[in-house]
Amino acid sequence: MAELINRVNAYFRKIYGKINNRNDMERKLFSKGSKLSIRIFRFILLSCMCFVVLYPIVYMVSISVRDPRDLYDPTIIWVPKHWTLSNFSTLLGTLNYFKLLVNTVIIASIGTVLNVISCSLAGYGFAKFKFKLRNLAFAMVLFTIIIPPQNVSIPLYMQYRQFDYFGIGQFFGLFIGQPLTTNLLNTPFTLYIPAALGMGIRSGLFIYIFRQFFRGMPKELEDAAYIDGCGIMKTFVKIILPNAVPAIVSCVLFSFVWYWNDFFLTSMYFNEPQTLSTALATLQDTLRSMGFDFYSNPFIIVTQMQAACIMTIAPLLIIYIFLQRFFTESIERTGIVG
Amino acid sequence: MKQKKFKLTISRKKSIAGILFISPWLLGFLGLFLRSIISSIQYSVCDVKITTNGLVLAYKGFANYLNAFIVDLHFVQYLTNQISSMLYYVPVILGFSLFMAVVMNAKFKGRTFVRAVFFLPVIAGSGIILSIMQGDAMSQSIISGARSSMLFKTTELQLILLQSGLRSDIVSFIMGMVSGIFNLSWKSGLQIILFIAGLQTVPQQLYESAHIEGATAWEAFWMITFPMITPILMVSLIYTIIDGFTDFSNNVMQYIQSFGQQLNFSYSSTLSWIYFIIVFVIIGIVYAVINKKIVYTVD
Repeated sequence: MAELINRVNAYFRKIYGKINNRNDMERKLFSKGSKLSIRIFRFILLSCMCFVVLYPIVYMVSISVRDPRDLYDPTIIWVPKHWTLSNFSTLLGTLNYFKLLVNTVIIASIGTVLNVISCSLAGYGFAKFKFKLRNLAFAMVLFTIIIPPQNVSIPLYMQYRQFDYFGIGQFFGLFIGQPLTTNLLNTPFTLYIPAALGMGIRSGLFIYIFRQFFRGMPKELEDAAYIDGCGIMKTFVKIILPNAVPAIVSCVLFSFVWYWNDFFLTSMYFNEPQTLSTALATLQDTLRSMGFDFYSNPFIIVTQMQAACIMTIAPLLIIYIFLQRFFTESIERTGIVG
Repeated sequence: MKQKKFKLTISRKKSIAGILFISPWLLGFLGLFLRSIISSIQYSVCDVKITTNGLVLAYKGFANYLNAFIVDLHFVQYLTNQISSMLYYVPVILGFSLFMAVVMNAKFKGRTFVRAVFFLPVIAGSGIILSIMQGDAMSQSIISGARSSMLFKTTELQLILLQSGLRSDIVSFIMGMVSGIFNLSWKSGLQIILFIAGLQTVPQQLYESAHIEGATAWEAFWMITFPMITPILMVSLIYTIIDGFTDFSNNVMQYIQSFGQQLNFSYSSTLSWIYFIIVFVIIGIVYAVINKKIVYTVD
């Protein structure tokens, strides 16, 4: 009898085991199938999108590596017959490339660092503290994003020409006899001062981004730090900032790119081209002064312009590929649950 | 007793700390921005004449502001057109970029490459590169007629489709889609990166527990990802609205600029102030309506 029960049990176990196994198999097959279809869908979607985005860039590269005479050959659309890197090598001299590259890196990095510091401070202030007129002040932050820099450039130009240190110079003027002013034009301070005061290129947007990220952080984080004896500033630097890495990275990226690409402000405040973008904006005039007119030598102009574009954005791409690691690495969450 | 009087309460201390945190911004706002916009407003209520001594202003009141609405035939029309086109521009950009960010946030081979590609619009879509690309489109057509230009001319594709025997209305529909996708992917670079950064901050435990409870990916997206990302959605929304309105290629901005180029600074600054205040009011309305629905995990 006992043997029979055992056999029946074994039998049922076998059947159920099989059913269970089959269900597992089916589930696996099904999820494999759906995963595969997701992968195929993703592949098609992303390759179409990449094509759309890359099309103009690839075209740019294709123009920049061809000899000018290949431009008016109707049989050539993408792949040039006469490959050449001479466009790039002549531009090294024409643009004064390496000097301007170093200069651009310096201006863009200092501007970015100052911008991100001032914006993260302001973003934290708006996110976590209550004070009078906070909402009005924040509305003004949004207002600064709306006004394009072109709109306030002429008054700012006047102000930098006789910079009075926000009225302090005027105050000293009461004692010295004439107001204490400095001409900031043609110095990089015309870019650094607004950046350090949260008025750099699209600073309002960065303040907003930081505020939203900081607001999402649990209050317990700060409270724990306060209880452990951290001051407000130390809490911000040691606890809050390390948890906001994605926000910092994206703001650094955008800010760097916009300082790098800016040619409005730099050409406004500097007489000589100081950055690659300004040199690029004036490249056609430079080439004309060297005897390459657009109407007599259009092909040289076009290939040189495209090559110069590549040389301007290539360093940015390289920096991005290094920085974007911070996006993909999973950010370590804090030990607070809930 | 006296000591107690000077002791600050915690909330008072915190509000002072808050003001200290925003003080650099405040100084910049008052010292640089406000001073500049005040003189810009001055231009709009004055007659501005350029003389050898610089700009000379003569007060003439708010006549310009009235003229913009009563006399000017184009401004109000451009303005309403711009506002109505924003009604579909903004949701489409936001939906597309959120979708792309979710797709790109998953782990797959070649992710680094794809993300680098989608950063290109941010790099090349601003400043001088874009204007050279557009300028080159012009110079190209001078050189060799209808050669495909920088900004994705779809004429070749159109020809192929027409020759393959499709009806012309279907072809024009497809062409509209193609050029729409092109514009979309070039306009939403920043939003995609913002969304990716936002997705990174969603705690993984939430997805794990949802998975154990039996939620599908679709449910997890609407129950977890979407609410958690609403703060970033808000930034992207505001940015998209502002970017659309203040893009120098749109009709209103070009109209305003055309007066600046005619050296009519007074009227151009009047128009720009009317325009910016309208944009500001729109943003205020959007902010007030949506801000209540945003999920902040803490407060």
